[in-house]
Amino acid sequence: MRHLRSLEVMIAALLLSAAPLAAQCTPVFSFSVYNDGSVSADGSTMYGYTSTEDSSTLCSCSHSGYTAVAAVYDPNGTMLGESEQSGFSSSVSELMDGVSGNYQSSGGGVAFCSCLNGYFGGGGTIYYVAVTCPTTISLAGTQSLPLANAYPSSKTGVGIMATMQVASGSLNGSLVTESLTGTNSCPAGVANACVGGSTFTVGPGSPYNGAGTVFGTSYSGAGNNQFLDQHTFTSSGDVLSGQTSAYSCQQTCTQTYSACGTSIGGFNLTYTFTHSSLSGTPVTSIGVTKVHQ
Amino acid sequence: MRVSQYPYVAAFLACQTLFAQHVHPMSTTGAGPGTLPVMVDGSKNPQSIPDALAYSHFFTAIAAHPSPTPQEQGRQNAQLALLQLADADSAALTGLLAKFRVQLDQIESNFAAGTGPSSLASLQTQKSASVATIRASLQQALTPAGLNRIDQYVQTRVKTHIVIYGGKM
Repeated sequence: MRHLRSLEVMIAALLLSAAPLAAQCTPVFSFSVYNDGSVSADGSTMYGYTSTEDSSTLCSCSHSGYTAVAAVYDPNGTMLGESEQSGFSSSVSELMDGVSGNYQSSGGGVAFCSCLNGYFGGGGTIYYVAVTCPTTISLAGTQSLPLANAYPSSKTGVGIMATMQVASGSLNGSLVTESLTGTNSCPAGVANACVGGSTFTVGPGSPYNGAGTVFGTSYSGAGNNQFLDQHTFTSSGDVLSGQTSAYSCQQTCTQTYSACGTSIGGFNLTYTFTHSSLSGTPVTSIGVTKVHQ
Repeated sequence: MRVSQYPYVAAFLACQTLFAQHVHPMSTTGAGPGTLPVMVDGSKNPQSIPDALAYSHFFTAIAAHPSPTPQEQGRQNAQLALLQLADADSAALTGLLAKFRVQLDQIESNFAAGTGPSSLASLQTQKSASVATIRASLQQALTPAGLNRIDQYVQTRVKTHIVIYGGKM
């Protein structure tokens, strides 16, 4: 009996000693890393970004000295750039080199753990960002947009809808930007038509590339590897009022298309403003020509 | 040649560069020295990434300051383009994220000034609360279509780009 009682006491003592053990805190790491990459609208710059979260159960440990890193690589695996920043996030931006392919983004984070007396962290996963870069561009066709279809809402206008074709390869979804410079021989007060700087998305599924009607004229949509570029000028008034009938003047523009930060082709645009009449009303009709340089 | 300020970062970047020399159809996970074991790889099991964690990463990565630098603005514009939001939804999102960025700066500044386990716990709590507030505000400020686009992006893109590392210390 005495032995049994001792055993009971021993078990009770063990249970009592185990209770604090069960309640003891066990430090556990939980560290997450998010990384991704994206490309600027004009296709010239690649961005990589990383964020980290430390949801560890620390107990009596402490974590400090957080650093996040983001890096981007070209399709050949050559590092374009990287950025290390203290804290929980980092981002990097680098100019692209006009090469199509799978660009890469990666990143990670580290921090110091007092219990390890050293650094811990995670990262290094590589994510791919597909980038397609047109290298050439040509004029596939133009459709005239006559003032007669826009009259009488407009008494000045209009121009052409140009269908542009890029090459080579499957390029739907690619981005093409434009820049415009020009000269204006028209009288003061006639605004410059050579303005703007749009970004175009290639392919029939992209916005603004579908068939439609503009200034009263119907036009066809873009096909594969094509996009639509509208060259128009309109005004509700007659911008050449005061000029003689048949008076004309011109504005000429140099238009340069670029993709992935590289020029892919240039065109000369000529806007010819002619003072005329529609239904006996003075108007200014505008014709536009577009020629590859 | 640039030398990393942080030896650990240099180690896993070196490892990652090795992976970058090859073309892989899918993501690859590098394991640099000292890297914690992977507990959840979002590219394989996105459903195992909690929504709250995914939104927290998404907001942190995409947020810009109220007066962003050109680099910060360019980065956010490139990120927003992937969401394909209507202009009004995009403006509402960036406005809320600017507030989030300011809050996050304050939270992280407080954390950097503190030490010990309670400091990290406080950071986690405050950041979680801020993320929850922004998510609730988005419900009020965005159209249903805009909210749906963001959630689809978080579920299908953000979660697949998250890796959770862990293990006992």
